[in-house]
Amino acid sequence: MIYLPLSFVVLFLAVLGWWILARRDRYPGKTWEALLVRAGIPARLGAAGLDLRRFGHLKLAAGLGALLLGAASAVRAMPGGVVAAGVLFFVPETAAFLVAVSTRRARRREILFLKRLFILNGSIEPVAFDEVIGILRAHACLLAPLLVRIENGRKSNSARMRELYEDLSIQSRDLEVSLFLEKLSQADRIDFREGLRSIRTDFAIEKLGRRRQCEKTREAIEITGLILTMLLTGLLAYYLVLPWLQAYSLQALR
Amino acid sequence: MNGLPAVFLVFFCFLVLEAVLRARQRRQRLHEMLGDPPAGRFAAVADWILARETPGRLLTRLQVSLEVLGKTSRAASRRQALLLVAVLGGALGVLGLLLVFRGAAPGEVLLRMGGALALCAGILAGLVSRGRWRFRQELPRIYRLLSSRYLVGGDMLAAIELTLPDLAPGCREAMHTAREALLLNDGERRDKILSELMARFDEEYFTLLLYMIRQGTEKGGQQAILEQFVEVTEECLLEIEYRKEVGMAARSYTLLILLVVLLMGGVTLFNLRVLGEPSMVFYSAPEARLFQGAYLLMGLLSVWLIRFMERTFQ
Repeated sequence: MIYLPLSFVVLFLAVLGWWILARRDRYPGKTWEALLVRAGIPARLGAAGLDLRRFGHLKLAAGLGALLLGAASAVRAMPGGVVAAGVLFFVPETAAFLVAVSTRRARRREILFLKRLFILNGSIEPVAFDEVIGILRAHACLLAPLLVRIENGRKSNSARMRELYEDLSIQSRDLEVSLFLEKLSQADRIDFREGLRSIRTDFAIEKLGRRRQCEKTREAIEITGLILTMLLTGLLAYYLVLPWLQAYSLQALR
Repeated sequence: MNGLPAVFLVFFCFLVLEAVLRARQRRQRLHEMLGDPPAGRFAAVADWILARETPGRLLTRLQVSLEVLGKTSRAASRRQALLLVAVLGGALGVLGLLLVFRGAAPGEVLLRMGGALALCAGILAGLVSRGRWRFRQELPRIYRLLSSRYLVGGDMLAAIELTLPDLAPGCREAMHTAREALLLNDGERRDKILSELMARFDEEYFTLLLYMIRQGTEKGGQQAILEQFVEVTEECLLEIEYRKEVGMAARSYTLLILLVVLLMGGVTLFNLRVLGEPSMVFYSAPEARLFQGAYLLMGLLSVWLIRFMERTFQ
């Protein structure tokens, strides 16, 4: 029965953690968020466009839930509950990972579409960069803040466009976005036709990669589907045999 | 005796429905006699929903899908979408009432209502996805027809007018709206109508098509437009092929997983029939219920994972 006092100690620690989080403004640098920063999580979350504070709350809630479930399972001697608590503890990380993957793919897809729009609207002359950037901004979702800043920069007399593009490229922390911004910068500052040609070449290369990406995704789906089906079939077989094992003791057959 | 309240409830529902329909008919006849067309309550409800952001977006998606699938006009598809949602909602309500009348436990009511809600959401999501798929399939044909007519006449608006009768009704109405917008002198209003069309269909290649039509109408440049037509049509066809390939793999494994999950019912029936009493004891234990729940949850998570992988490709 050591589990009972142990679970109370852990619960007390969790409440202490909650208390620290609630007073994070009074103790800057010693908060849950600071711990996450030290663990290097914000860089990954930032790439996915996630809010660190929300993630911290989610993690704390999942941790508390896992502790309560784990303690209850340990007291009632239910090993399945302990495993479930372990799974519950890592739910925020899994969710963050999935959101990061989804956002990265969505951003790549959006850049591809914006390139296509740029090529289409830039190829039919007469054309101006302002017109094309306005169209791109109207259809951007994840890249909209960047494009708005470029549009505003172009309207301002004092903006140094080269520095602006470089700043945006550094802030984006995404290679695909940086490459796209380089081409936009070329079309904006140097020569529109040269920039259009660069985007066209880049788009053609990406189109070739799309075939490979399709095959990779299909293979990944097939492998995952096969593993999951086998796992479910194994569990189903276990479920089929379980009442028989309870009804007839195998020891008696010896 | 259990079926009696249900029969009574169904009979009562029929009576109410009959009364409502008769009252509506009478009101309509009165309005016709007075020569005053009734203000459509259906349209008012639809406008009220469309004014809300998320429900409005969902209803628009359903409406567009019905428009493409059923080949109906915009107004008819809006009525159908609302009616479908109302019927599904009504069925859910009747199911809930039936369960309460039968004296089911709150947990069972919640579980069954949750299952029914998931089924309704699945039906609506399936319809939307089917409609979008059909519309995407239609796009290469529109590109081909338009480029062919534009090549002959060199006038984009005339090419659209010639193409309209050959299009499916859902697409025809959209292209007709686009053509009417391009005829407007007010640039701001024209852009607004085109943006609304793009947002309504929310399909990348349709957006590209509208931009191409706009550029062709405003700027001309037959050679450049035709080059773009060829490039985008090729891309659209390739994209459809890729998505089909990935979608087929995802669908087949989803079906397989659902089949394995549904087999659990068969396994239970088999054990109850063959093993008899000991299996009844086993299945009535809370551990067996927990196992069933965990298994169902795992099956649903597996389906979601496969669909997630498919979605991230798009």
